[in-house]
Amino acid sequence: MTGAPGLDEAFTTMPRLKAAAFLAGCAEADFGAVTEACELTAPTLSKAATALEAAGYLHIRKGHVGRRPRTWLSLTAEGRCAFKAHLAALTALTEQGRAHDT
Amino acid sequence: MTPQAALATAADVRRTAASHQMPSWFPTVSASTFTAGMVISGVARLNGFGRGASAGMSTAGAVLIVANFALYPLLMWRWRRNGVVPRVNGCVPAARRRVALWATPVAFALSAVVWVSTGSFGWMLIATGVLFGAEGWYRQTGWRQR
Repeated sequence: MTGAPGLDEAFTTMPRLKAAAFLAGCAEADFGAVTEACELTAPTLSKAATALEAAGYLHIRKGHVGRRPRTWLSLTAEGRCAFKAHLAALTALTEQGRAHDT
Repeated sequence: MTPQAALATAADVRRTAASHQMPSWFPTVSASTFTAGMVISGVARLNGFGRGASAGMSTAGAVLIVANFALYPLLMWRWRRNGVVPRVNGCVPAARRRVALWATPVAFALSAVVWVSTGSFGWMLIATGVLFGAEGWYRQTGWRQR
């Protein structure tokens, strides 16, 4: 899939795709909630989050809920646009594949 | 990973995130506390009530309005405790967004018309409570429709 027209390299691994898809469905989420919902391990999500942050698509914020420290993840505006474009490219590829099969 | 598999995974995961939304009780409780608070405060200012009754009603109205404003930080605290803060404005259907654009100015204008035509601050408070309560309920129920 990498290198196909319209696809964004930042979302081409499964952990990054899952993290971005989850964050696209909410305003922000706790690191633990994302690992649980996306069925990812903490190191895998950490690596994916760092890559998305480096691309400018993810914002990482440290915070507290009561006394407990939490790490909050959210997609940036640029990240939301890029992810939307990536999904559109995937949809186009899927439709092309279907047309090719028939 | 095929494009189909990637799309299906993204849709599944996104649906999981979107399942965290505003509790169903919130729009009704929020609208009713605001409307009740404003209506009671307004009625307290109309003629025909003794000073004691009027003060009691004003206090009850103020308590309801404060309770209404306290609901928002409570909701945010609940979302943060659960680890997922939903996108409330980003998922309102387009038709509701269009209505919300003009509903707030119309509610302001109607409240002003009531104030000017009756010359009564009490009636203005009652109108504001009913109009903004309805507008808030409509807007917040829209947050739940994805």
